[in-house]
Amino acid sequence: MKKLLAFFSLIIPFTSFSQSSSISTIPLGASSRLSFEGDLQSILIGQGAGNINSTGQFNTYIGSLNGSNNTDGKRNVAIGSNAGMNNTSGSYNINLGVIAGLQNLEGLGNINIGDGAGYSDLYGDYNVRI
Amino acid sequence: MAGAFASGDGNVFLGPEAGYSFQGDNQLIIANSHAKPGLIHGDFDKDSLAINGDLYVTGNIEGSIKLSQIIGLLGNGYSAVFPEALDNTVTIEIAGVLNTTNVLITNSVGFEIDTFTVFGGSCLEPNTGLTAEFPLTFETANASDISDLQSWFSSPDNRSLSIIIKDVSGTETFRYNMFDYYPSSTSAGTDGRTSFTLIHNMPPNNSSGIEIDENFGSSFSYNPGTDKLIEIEGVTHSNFTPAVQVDYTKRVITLEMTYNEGAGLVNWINGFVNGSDLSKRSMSIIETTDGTGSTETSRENFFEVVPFKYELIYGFGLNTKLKARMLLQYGCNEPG
Repeated sequence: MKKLLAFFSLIIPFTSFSQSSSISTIPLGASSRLSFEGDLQSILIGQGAGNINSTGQFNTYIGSLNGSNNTDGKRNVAIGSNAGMNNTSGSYNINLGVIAGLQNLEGLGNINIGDGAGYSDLYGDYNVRI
Repeated sequence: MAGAFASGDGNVFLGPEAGYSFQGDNQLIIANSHAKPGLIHGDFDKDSLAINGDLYVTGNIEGSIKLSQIIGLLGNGYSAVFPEALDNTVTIEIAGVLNTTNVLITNSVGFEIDTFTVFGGSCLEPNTGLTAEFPLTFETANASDISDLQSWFSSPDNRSLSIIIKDVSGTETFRYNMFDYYPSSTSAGTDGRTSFTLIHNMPPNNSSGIEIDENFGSSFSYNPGTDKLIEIEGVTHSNFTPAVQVDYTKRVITLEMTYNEGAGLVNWINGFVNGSDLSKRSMSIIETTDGTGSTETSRENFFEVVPFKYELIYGFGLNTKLKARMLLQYGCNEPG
C-alpha cells in the first residue's frame, strides 16, 4: 500500500501539469514549481523563481525566489536560495550561492560565487566576486 | 561573502570577504578576511599590484626595478637618485658619440690624494702629495651604442660627457659634466655586455675634469639613523647632514651623502687635485635631534682637516644605495 501511495504522489504533479503556448510548468507544492519557458528558453526551479519574468530569455534560476523580480534580464544564471533575487533587468550575471548577488538590480556581467557574494551591489557591472 | 557590501564596476574579488565593503572600480583584491588589507591588491586602471606581505621569488625577476621608488630605502628627504639603481644604470651623454642613453656603471670617477703626516706641536699636520683620478667604466649591450663607442675608440680624442641624475619620476634634476675624457680600453663585460673605460686625459694640475651643475646639492637630506650635522669652515652649505663615521685610530672621517647635498666638497678637493688651494680646514660633527643647528646638543671639533679621497658614485651593490663619498684626514680633535 505504501508503494501505491508513493506512486500516486509522483503521478499527481503530472496530473496538474499545465502547458500553454510553449510554457511548461510543473508545480512542486508549497508554491514551488518547475517551469520550462519555451519561448524564453528559460529554466525556473523553486518557489517564485523567475516569477514575473516577461521577456528575459535564456535565464536559469534554481532556488526559491531566484530572479523573482526579473522582468527582462536575460542570460542570467542563479543557483541558491534568493540568489539574484532582486534583479530586474540585469543580464549576463552568474550568481551561485545563497543570497549571492541578491540586491543587484540592473548590473551586467557579474559573477558572484559563494554565500552572500556580491550581496548588496545594486548596479555594478562586470565584477567577479568569489 | 566576497564583495558582499561592495559597489562598483570591473572588480575582481577572490576569497572569503575579499572586497567585503569596497567602493570603487577596476580593483583586484585577494583576501580571506575583511578585517585586514587583502594579501594582494591590484589596480587594473593603473596596471599596478601591491603585495601586503613578504614576497619570495625562487626564479629571476625580469625587467627593471627602480629602487628609488621603494619607500623608506633612501631615508628622510632623499629625493634625487640614479634610476634603476639595482642595476647601477645611469643615463649618460658623450658629445658626438652617445646621445642620452642608459649604461651600466661599474666604476665611477673620483680622486685620491696621497697624504702624509708631519708630527709637531700639539696637533698632527696632514699634508697631501700625489693625486690620482679614477677612470669611468661602464657597460652596455646596445648594439648601436657599442658601434658608436667602438668608432670613437678607433679614432680617439678628448670628449665631454655628462652623467645625468633624474628624480623618481624620471625628470632630469641635474648633471655631472666631465671634460677631456679619452678612450682607454674596451673588453668583454658581464652578461654579454661590452665594457668601456674612459680616463681624464689632462694633467691633474690643469683641471679635475668634473663640473658640478649649479643645481647640485645644497638640499637638506637628513636620515636620523646615520646622519649628523657637519660644518667645514668655508666649504659646506647650511644643514649639511651626511652619514658620518670617524676612525680615531687612523684619524679618518668618512662622509657619505646623496646627490642633492654636499655642495662645496668637490670644489674643495679640486683645490688639492690641481694644487690651487691646499687650505686645511676646521670642522665640527654636531649632534642634533633633527639635523638642524637649532637643536644642537653637542659638537666635536676637528682641526687640520684635508680631503684625500672623493668618489662621485659610491655604493654599488644590492645592499647600498648609490651616493657620493669623501674621506678626510684630520690632525687632532676636541671631543664635545
